[in-house]
Amino acid sequence: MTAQAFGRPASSVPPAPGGGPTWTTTAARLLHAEWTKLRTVPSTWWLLGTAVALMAAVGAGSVSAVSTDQCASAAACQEDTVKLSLTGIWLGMAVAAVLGALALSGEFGTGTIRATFTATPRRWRVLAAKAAVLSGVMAAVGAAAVSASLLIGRLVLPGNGFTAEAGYPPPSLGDGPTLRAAAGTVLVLVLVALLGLGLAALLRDTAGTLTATLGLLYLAPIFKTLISDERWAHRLERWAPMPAGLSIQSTRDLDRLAIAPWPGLGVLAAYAAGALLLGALALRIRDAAD
Amino acid sequence: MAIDMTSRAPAYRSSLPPGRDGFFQLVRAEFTKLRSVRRWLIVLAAAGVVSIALSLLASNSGPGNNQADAALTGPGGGAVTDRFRYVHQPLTGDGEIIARVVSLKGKGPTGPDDGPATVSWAKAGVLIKDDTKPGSPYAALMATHGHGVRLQWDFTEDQAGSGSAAAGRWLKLVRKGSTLTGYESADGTSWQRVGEAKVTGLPRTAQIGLFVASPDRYSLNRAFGTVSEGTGPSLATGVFDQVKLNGSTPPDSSWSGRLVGQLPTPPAPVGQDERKEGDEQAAEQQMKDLEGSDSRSGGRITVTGSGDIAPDTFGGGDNLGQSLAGSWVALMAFAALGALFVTSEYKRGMIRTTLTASPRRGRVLLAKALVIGGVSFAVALPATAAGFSWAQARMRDSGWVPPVYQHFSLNEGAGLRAVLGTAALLALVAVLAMAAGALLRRSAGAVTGVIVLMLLPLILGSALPLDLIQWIFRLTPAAAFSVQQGTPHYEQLERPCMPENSCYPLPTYGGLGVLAAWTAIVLALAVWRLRRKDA
Repeated sequence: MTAQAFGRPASSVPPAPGGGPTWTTTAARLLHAEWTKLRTVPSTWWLLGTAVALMAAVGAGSVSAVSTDQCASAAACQEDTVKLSLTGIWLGMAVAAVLGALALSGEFGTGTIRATFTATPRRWRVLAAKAAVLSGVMAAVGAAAVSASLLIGRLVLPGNGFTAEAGYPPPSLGDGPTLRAAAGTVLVLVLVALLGLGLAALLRDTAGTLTATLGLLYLAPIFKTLISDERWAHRLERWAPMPAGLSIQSTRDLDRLAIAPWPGLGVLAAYAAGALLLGALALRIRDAAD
Repeated sequence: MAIDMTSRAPAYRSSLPPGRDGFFQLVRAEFTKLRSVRRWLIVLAAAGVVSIALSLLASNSGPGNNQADAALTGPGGGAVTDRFRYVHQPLTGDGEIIARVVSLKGKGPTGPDDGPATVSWAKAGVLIKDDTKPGSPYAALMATHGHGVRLQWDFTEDQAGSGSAAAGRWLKLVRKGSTLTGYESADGTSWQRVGEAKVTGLPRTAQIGLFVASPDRYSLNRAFGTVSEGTGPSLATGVFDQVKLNGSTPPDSSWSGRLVGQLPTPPAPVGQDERKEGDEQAAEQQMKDLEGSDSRSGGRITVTGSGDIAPDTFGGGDNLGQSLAGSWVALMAFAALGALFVTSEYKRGMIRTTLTASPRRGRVLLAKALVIGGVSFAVALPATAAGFSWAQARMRDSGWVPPVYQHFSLNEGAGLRAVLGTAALLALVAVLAMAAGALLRRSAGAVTGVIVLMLLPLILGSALPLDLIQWIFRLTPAAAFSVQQGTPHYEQLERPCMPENSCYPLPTYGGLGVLAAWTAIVLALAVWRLRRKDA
């Protein structure tokens, strides 16, 4: 009564003993519970630290290994310096997949999932809360990793001949395409973590989930280089989650892409959404004790 | 009625025969653990079937540009390039030719691209050849612009001499039957042996003389996912003096110059170079230039030529890896299975029972390694062989035929090596994942680590500079994919060795050795950890 009279949000008020908790309190508690679970597992912080370090390291390695000396002229290099700085995404996504998968498969492995589902019998709510917490954490860590990678690119690239005079302005977030690539890379990390979460809900086993997730991400680019059939190579580039999702990183020669940046990210998002949907269904149908 | 159990009943003895603590029993126990999990058996079977299906998918269509009709073949049967300027005369029986290379210089760019004036494989030297028909057997001793003195024969063979600069180098090629011996010298008096070539099919009377060739300029542009190659013709001029021919030549024979081989049609450079319109005159002039020229004044012979005498791998490509494409999927399944084989014991606490029954830690892990490696090999070998044979047969039907594309067979050579090697690779990956699982005691780290290390190098292949990626393929376990290289990489070609073209920096078994070393190290670490910190 008092809460309504003062127009305060319900979450700050303990629920009335008679009535059930309101929707917002449930959500807040669920999110808080999931955040606590994620936060208190030491491997989370290890993984997140590793993700930032690996992405920055691979980015540093990539930018320091190229030089305009390798091309006939600086302009002939046609290097996408922003994309090059963000090469670390290929390792970052593996860590994101592990984090997403472990968020659920870890609970299945230890049996905590029974307590979780007893406390919150609605399976999809648990999955949604996990997805929300995971997205927030991944976005924060992704932003740190992307900023570090771009900063390293900014520092290293001019020394290798990629100067503004040669037609390679240093990566800057004030530039539209660069901002798109940076924000897109963070989104890719979030979506990969969600893909791992969805597949974990479907498969439950850590090893199986990770094999499936990494297979979805890594096999298409490999087959693209191996197969001779041009049509299939093109199809893979357009419709497989990884070559498509990473088109968001391109800042030049966009007309040469098999799929435009945002639609490409949409393809990856569709895979993640599909996995989450199937996962939610599987959680509903199949009991946790199986 | 009370029965005194302690005094009357004998101590309990199992009716089963006592278990023996041999290594064989340990292996058998581990095998029972593996085969009694139905889900794992399904994964093994699925890995085999899916890998065959994907090999078939990868071999789905014909080669992009089929040049089989136009291909020139060398004595070995492979496609070759044979175009150079030749100043020659007949030589009957044994004999020798001596010449000094005064200079070797590029004759300026003939194409619109601006590469270096002299290509590094521009070559001038002495050559003996069946006749002037392109593709016939030959042996040549040459000074090159960037690779020192070389003895080459029958297109694929190449032996390095000293790294001396071309200018001022003396060359001597001696024929004795079908054996050709090359010598080089700085002063024309003290000779250094370069090597010996056995050229079969060289007739008694062969053509001997001086030659100059300058291979096409090659430029490579690698941006993520796309690799564009550019080629354009080049010309070089070699000046010789002190030319001496010892042996029986027909009376009143003299040096005559000609172009051996056919000029490329059209000679226009491809790739990044753009031709301006209305350039026909220039093109005509360029054709004329490429024919080359030769002149004599005093004791000097000046020869200008283009082209190359080398294997032709530009038109074709290595399709061996393509027919083994399924191994990439099988690899992931074996990695997961290998890790699970030990991490599931940790998860369920089974490891305590295992270690109680067999307290010697090292032997337990060794037995596990043998079982998972053996089973993986047994599944991988038939699946790889079937996928390979099927895919190769389909590819041959759709135009991947010799001489442009090499023929690979399950019975011999590179094909057999690749199938056996791939099965060994997959077995080693399973053992590596098992060892990583035992080391980390978690599936997540083991599976992800192994998959990333095996798959990421190829994915990053087109993103990173060639030097870096070649080092990655020497040091990471992905080096083992060198067993899938079918066509050898010829150093005498200005073509980079790119992993995405199935060219690996390590030799076939060297790469497999790198993976085996990784496996051994991780296994040793796992044993060490298991001994030190108990389960």
